[in-house]
Amino acid sequence: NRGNKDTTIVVDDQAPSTSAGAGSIHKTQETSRRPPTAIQSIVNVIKSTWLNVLLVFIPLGILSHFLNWGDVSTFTLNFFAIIPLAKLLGTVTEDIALRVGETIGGLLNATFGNAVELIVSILAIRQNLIRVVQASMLGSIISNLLLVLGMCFVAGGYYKKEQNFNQTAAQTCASLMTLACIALIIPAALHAAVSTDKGKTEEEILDLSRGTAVVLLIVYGFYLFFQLRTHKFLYNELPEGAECAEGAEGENAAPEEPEEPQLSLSISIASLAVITVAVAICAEFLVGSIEGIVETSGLSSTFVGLILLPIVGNAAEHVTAVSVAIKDKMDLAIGVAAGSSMQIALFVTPFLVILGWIINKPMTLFFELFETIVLFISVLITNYLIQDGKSNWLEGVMLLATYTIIALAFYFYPDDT
Amino acid sequence: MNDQTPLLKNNNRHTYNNSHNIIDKNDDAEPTTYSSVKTLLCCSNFNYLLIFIPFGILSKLCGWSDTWVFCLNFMGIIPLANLLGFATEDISLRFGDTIGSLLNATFGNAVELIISVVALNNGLIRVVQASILGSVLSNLLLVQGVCFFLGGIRYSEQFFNVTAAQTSASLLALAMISLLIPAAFYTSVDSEKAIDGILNLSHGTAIVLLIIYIMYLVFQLKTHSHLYESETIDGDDSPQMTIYVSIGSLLIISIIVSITADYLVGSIEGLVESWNISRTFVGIVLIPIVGNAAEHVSSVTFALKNKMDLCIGVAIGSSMQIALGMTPLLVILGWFLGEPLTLFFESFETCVLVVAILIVNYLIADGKSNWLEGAMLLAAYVIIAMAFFFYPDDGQVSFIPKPV
Repeated sequence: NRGNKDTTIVVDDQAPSTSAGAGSIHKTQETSRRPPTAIQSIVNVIKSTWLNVLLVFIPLGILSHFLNWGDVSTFTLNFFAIIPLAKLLGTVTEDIALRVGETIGGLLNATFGNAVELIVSILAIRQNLIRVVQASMLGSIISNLLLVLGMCFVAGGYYKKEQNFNQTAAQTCASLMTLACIALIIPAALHAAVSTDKGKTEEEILDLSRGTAVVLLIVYGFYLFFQLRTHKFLYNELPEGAECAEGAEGENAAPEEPEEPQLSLSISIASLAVITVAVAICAEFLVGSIEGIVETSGLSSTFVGLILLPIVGNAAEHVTAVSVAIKDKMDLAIGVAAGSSMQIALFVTPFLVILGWIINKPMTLFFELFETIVLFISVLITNYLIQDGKSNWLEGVMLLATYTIIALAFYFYPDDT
Repeated sequence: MNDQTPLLKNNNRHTYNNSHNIIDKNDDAEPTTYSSVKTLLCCSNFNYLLIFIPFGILSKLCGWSDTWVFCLNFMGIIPLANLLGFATEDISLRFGDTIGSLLNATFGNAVELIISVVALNNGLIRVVQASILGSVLSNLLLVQGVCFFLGGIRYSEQFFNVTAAQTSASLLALAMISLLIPAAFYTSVDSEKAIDGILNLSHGTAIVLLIIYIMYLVFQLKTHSHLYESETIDGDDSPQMTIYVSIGSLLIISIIVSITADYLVGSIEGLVESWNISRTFVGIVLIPIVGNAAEHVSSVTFALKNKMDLCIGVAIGSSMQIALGMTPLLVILGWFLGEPLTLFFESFETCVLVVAILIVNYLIADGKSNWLEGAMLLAAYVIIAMAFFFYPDDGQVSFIPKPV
């Protein structure tokens, strides 16, 4: 889920590459007259954010796996290695998107933006860590809605008494999240009501999940169509291309000069490939060490999946959203956070279910009843707080409190199977 | 209440006629009974299909095969749906969208009420509950979804009265609460003692809901009718039928529709027996769709004509009527008849209703609709229908949520 500027791409959750974002490499036309050389652009990319300091963890993480430093170190080192890679992926995707235009850019965004989550999840499914994957999907949604948004409201609210954002787009987000919730609640309710014949139930839940996944993907497709075609006007005044929010016409509508891609096409495609491969490697080691971690550290696999893994996938957007909120661009922040949740709920999760169908692993949309309730509550409170189009630091505190309570609950949640 | 003669034809929607149709229009004379009936019968080419109706009735009474019964009655329902819409529109041109949709919904539900009373009398409690659930779900999600979707394809954004929408949303939430509380009651209390408590709770709640519904009618038609006035003024349409013909025809058409629908439903049950589909699915999904097809089609035509207030009035208004009017009425009737009909639906069904009402409320609260919102409602309906498809047949199912 990487976003872009005037190309209203699927989910904008990274500060579009004007001066707005943390880690923007793009300068406006005025300040960069000459296209930079290859070396220069790569250097720019690397210098663009402090997160890239963490890049040193990549070699460490690889070493840790091959030198058998133990599961805990492997997990931790690779954990920190993936974070800057995710950010880089976003930056490069943005760059390419500037060249290829909105629609393709949007699709690129959807794929590569979620690359980390997708890769980690696919690897985990192949190793039959279904519960971990489900937990990480849920955790991603919850952490975006509560943790990220909460921090945004708090950080922004520290500087400004009350921040405004567009209600209409916030409400569309709310409705779509509710739909996603429904798609997850129904299988759980079905399971809870029909608890006699175990074998048959699993079979039916699986079928229901697969059917639902198809429906959700179709809705996601419709949503893209809605946003990029038929109702573009609702999203078009965005100076910064936030997906879930219309920009406030006032302050943000300063005429932006068109940006130029910083990297040549070949370099950007090449770096995309390189970064993806690096992510895959680190993710492989990360996922491989999960079982070991669960045994030694005593953390339940649910906790690992629900709280730890999402941080890996979302750290980049997290940083972006908060920095943007501080700059009083709350529309953007919400676009990043809520849009990211929506993508996970409507795209990544159904996609994984279908993938599981293909490779014959029983990935379902059936979450434990407790998790479903937790999801429902998170969506509920978030919807309430964003519906009025205003935010303040106390609302942020409320969201953070909810997240903490949920995290605590999962810490004490007994691990079954 | 305005009984001044409007200068422009299109202002007569707020004029209430008491007994005499003395509205002077600029050119056309007030329609006579004869011309009204003629207009009705000639209003569309679909009316040729009306000949299927006597055949449909015949097929059932003479015991022809289920397939024949289904096909003939299906063909017969099409022109009826059309006429239903026509009559409703005519009434609404005269009295306003509020009354138009109210009458449509009432006549449509009145017959369902009668059928439900018969079922109740025979002790078929689950059948009654299933039909209530199915009707509410299909009106809220399927019909509304198709309306928003198709209407949204034609018109980029459609508007409807916000006050009406929000009032409906709140009332639906109230209905939701009336179902949630017994369900929560049931899961917390020891099951033997729960049944009695729930029955009494249901009786009390039914009385409360009925009172609220009557108050809502007063609100809508009397004290705050000005809030419900349509914001968009129609062109030069004026009613083409006299009051008596329009209301009378609505009534008669509704009756014929329900007879035809009844035969349709009966034949479906026969056809489906052989296919071995879950009876829960048939009862909650298939039958309400088939049974309410006529009203559904007329709602959609309203949406396509951008008469969103009428469309929502029929679809959501019908659900509200069932949830707040018909259900409590049935519960109270059950009280008198000694049949234990309660407001406690199976937990899964309660959950489904809650979720449906939730998403509908979110989507109508802003008074605008577009095709994506329609798609969302349809998606929700498909997911729920799928769940019922996989829901095992009644009898072997335990309805108590597994303690986690």
